[in-house]
Amino acid sequence: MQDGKIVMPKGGAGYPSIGPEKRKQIDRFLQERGLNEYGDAPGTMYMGGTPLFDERTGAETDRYVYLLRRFPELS
Amino acid sequence: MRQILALFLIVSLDLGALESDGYIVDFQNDVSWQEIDEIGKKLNLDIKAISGYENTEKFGLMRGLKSGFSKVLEFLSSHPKIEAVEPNYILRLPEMSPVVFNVEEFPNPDPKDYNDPFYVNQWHMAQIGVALAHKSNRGQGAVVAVLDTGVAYEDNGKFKRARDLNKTRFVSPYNFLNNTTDAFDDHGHGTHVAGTIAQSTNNGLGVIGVAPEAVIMPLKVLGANGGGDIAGIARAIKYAADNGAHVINLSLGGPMPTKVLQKALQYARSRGVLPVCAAGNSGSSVGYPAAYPECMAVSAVQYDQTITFYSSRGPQVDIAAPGGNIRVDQNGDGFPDGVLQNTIYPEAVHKDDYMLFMGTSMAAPHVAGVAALLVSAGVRSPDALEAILKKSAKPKEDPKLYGAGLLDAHKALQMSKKHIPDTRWYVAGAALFLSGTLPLFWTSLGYWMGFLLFGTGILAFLGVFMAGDQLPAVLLQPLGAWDLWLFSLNEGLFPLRSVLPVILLLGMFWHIKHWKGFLCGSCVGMMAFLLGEGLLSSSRLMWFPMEGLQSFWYLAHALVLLCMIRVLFLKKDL
Repeated sequence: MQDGKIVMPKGGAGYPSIGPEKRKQIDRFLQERGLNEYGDAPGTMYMGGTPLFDERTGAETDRYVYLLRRFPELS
Repeated sequence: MRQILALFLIVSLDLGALESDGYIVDFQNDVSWQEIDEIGKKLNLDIKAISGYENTEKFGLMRGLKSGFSKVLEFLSSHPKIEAVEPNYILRLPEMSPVVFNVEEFPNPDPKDYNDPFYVNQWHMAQIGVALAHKSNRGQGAVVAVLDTGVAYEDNGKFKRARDLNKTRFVSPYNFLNNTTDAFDDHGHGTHVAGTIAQSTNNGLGVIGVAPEAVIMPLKVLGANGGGDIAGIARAIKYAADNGAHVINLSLGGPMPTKVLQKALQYARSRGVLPVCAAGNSGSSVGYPAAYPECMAVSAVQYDQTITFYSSRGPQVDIAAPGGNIRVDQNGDGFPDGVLQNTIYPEAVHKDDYMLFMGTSMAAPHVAGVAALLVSAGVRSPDALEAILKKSAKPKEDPKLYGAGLLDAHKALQMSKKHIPDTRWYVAGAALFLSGTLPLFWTSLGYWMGFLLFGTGILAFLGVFMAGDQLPAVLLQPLGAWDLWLFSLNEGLFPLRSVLPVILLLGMFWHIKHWKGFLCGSCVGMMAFLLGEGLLSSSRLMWFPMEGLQSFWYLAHALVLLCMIRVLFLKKDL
């Protein structure tokens, strides 16, 4: 008799593209505040090395989309 | 020949070639459909309401926008009743590419090997030859520090021990986020990683681990959001090195190099600890700390033994291991090809199940687990561990993707035998020498029984010919290592610990003449074991917390045994 079950992973979603001007604006924002490429303090470490890849679902996030979600003031 | 049809369902999108069908307008929730009609009429636009299950959200689809659209979009974007206007992208799955796989080309789990029912879905364990490796070694005596989101290692308040870690041993947990000794997992990542290394195996539950008899040191350095800072991670690396870890698993990383972390890794390495790091999931260059030479950087392969789309790559990659790909089912078992281990639900940390994850975070603990098997087999130095892991790896074509090749647990253990002589043969040699000094017992069956039981394992020679799990460990392993079966690492340190069973035997049978041969044999066997293991720096006695003083500890205990043998000789009834 088995105790427990295998949980199916949830699928990842796509993401829209972000134009070059917006990307420049986001990069400038990070540079001015001394943040790393994911908008955190420079010494921050992440599971699997990046916050853009969810190892539980396989979902990937575009870095700029991720940053726009984190910093709504950039939208 | 069994063949299956595996379909690749890759959900990633080519953003450069996106089509769109008009524009989608996200209105504020308090806008009425009448107001939306009015906005459309004012701009001469056809805005159709998208209705469905939503009660509050209001979306409109705007088509037929041709001339002057930039001004219209500008107007809509700045309208107080509109939250967002975006192209209504059409997201498509790429064409399905039917690929015929011959699953017999790849190793698959044999359900007869273990009684853990989901083992049949652990293709990743079969890929690295775990079942064969377990016939000779399961990681006893090795300590692996897991620097992660914590581990579900015990019941404590809202936290529960994950069910399939019920037989797994833990030591010295620490939480570097709040500086307590409670390193509970509030995410699920760390418990999954720890399970790959030392999931309770052959316990009739769920799944297996690579080194189930290894001890896990849970060190929490990442929060529930998956992030953590360098200071905590560097402190945890030093803590692991100072508290008896032999291997450190780091399924984490970041984009920036840091001297602090590299120094901590150098310290660990100088203390004889091997750091194993996930190369990263960026699909591009290897992150840090994996890119440092002090780390073994691990890339991730999928079921068909090719590199995964997400795995980081570059000249720093040392070895490849299964990291899985939950977007495909190449083995046709009906489940996505992720790495399957037991872990908790992040939203309900007291609940656990068996979950399929994918990432280089999942690949690294396979390597850490095999390193633990090698430590248990007697390989001590991190350089030797790394060399054996690399030399035994299955060669692959591109070192930037696979490093030395694909991890092979069975071959690594076989190769370790060439590096580390089995101490039991040294003990046997010592036995012949010592027996020559004990002519009174030379022909005593009791003497030989005692000697074999404590010195080598009473049927140790059978272990050379038979699988390790076909006989009880007590027959194959010397009773000289009894304390490792009873205590966790760094626990139960008290004087005469190593010779306690012999003292108890002497106390019980001192007055019975026929037991003298057995008692003497036990003392000689135990003494030979301690001398052999201690002087050869074998892994079985690496629990001693003060490195450098181990030899004195063993010699002192051997001296106690010598005194006991002397006293036995002087007894008048002999």
